[in-house]
Amino acid sequence: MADQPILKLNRLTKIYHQGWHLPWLGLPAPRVVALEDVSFSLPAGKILGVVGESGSGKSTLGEIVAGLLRPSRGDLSCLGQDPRTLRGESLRAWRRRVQIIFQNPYSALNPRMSIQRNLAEPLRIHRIVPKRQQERQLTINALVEAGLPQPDELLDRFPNQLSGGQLQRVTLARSLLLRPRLLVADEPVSMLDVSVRAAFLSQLQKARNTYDLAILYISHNLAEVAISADRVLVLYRGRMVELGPAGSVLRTPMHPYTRELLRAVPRLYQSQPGEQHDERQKLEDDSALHMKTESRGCLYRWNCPEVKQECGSVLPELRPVGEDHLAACLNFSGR
Amino acid sequence: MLEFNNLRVSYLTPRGRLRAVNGVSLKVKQGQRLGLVGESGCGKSTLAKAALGLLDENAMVEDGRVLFKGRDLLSLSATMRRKILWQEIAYVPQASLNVFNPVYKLGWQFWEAGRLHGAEDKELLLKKAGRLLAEIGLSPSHLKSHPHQLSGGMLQRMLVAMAFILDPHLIVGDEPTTALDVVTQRKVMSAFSRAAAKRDTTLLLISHDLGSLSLVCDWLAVMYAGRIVEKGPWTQVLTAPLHPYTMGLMSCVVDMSSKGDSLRHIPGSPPTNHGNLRGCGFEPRCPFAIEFCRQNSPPGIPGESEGHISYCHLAGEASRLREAAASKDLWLTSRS
Repeated sequence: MADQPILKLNRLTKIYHQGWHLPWLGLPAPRVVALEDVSFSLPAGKILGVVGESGSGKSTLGEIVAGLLRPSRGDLSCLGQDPRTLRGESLRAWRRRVQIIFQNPYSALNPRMSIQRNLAEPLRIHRIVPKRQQERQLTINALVEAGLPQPDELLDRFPNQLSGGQLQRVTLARSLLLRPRLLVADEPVSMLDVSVRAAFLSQLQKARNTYDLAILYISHNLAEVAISADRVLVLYRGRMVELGPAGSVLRTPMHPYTRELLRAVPRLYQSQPGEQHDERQKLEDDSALHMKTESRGCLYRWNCPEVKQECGSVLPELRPVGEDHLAACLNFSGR
Repeated sequence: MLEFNNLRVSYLTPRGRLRAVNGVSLKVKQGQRLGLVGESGCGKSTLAKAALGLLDENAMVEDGRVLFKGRDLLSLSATMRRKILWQEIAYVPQASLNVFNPVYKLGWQFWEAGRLHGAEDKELLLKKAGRLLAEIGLSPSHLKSHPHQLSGGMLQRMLVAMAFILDPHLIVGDEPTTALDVVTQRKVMSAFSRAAAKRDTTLLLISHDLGSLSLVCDWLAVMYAGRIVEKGPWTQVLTAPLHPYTMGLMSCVVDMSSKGDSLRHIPGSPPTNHGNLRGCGFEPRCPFAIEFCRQNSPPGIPGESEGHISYCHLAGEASRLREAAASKDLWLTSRS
């Protein structure tokens, strides 16, 4: 098991079908390709950051990995098993080891249960603790571990009495109680106040170190991903455009889209107000982009500042552009 | 142009009176682009609603006034208010996905807004809308689209265009870019600043995100626990902050210069505004707080450059505080 990656995807594809299919009218089935040919692996103790703008398929990826959605094509191996093949007790055992944290902590906990009940629920479902006294002690430990120093005060309160930052740490505690091997964190801090975001991120790092936990960290903010992840995967409209070590993706971003994402990260100091955004930025019209999903060629070509003639006809494949660093752009295919 | 004069607003809640805005005085001058930044619950949305004269029913104005060109917005009749809104003060709300009517085309919705607020010629208005859209990077053909055909970022830019349609003098944006991804955020912000710069529109933009505000605004006001804690020209506030909260907030912003080992946060949680309101609101989370801060509300202390004011007893020692605030340990080891 030691060298086995926790998570391994091979050409994973997810297609959402929409509306009615009317074959007798000669129309193609209405569908959206949310993910196409995504392949990567994630070993224990590592954090893979997934970045992309809304609609890039990053949440679909997270939900497939956590077993909440079924992929349309491709191989998925998570903890050595494919969740599609699991049923009953074996599925339950698998779910215990693969946990997910969602974006909105206000709706992630049952509002009618106390914090303690919320935390104890998974323990009961997975039949981990037979005795109620043990249960309380375990939940207390979990809260302390998740960075909530006074658990006694919190346990008997209800979710609406806690702040967003506290709630998100409760959901982290709830996941960690089950000792997962893989944690999917889908935009866990984007609803939190700026002043408490870093607190959650460092808790996540701590959990990784303590439990040798593999984490799939999903976000739209490249900077946030870069400081927490070991490797970074950039998705654009369902396709992998760049994958590499966090450091080199940041320092030497190879794909034009990654560079655009880097530019988009809000910075505090920029030259002059007003001048900041007048820099050569195309305010492109992103209308009807989804209509073009299935045309050939690079999907980014309508927005790409470095677009060339052949981008319209050839679909760029992921190629090595540096050590352990892949990018899907024709500009680098010559190397 | 817009002036908050020692405004105090409370909400009556089952758990008692909640003071959301606690004595805010703030002036927005003609042509200024003021960014108001603060965390959830600091009272920034209440302030925005007060600027529109649209406070909720359980809100109570205890003291103070909101003046727009000399008129008191809080005591206007409904008819008078309708005359001012949109024509003189326009509003850009947060949830663009729920703002438009899903069954009408966007052009029709532009016209409805215009019609109700004094426009007479539909053709003219739609032409103007088309020009506005082109200006902020959307195709005028979207006026013939239904809302569901556009992405969230495009709808949010539609709202920006709609706010400008009757050439208002002031636009209030309440978290106009929250819930959008960073690429789209930039587009919306640049739509704002392009359109505003061309027409010399005054902006009051409210957000929890210092980074996105600094894209557009030339003045910043930082709010905490119902009070303004610092205000001034944006360069001054960002390069030489005077208030410990501003310093903390800035060190929390995750940007490309951050490294994994330099993650910072301000310990504790944002306040709930129940109970004791004496003293400095930030005192429980402030690493520099002294006993004096607990008892006495800090007065406004001007900084070195004009218009830069901080509400902190220790503002005079700001350069020492800034040095200390740069260290990571300070924010970790301070009281919970």
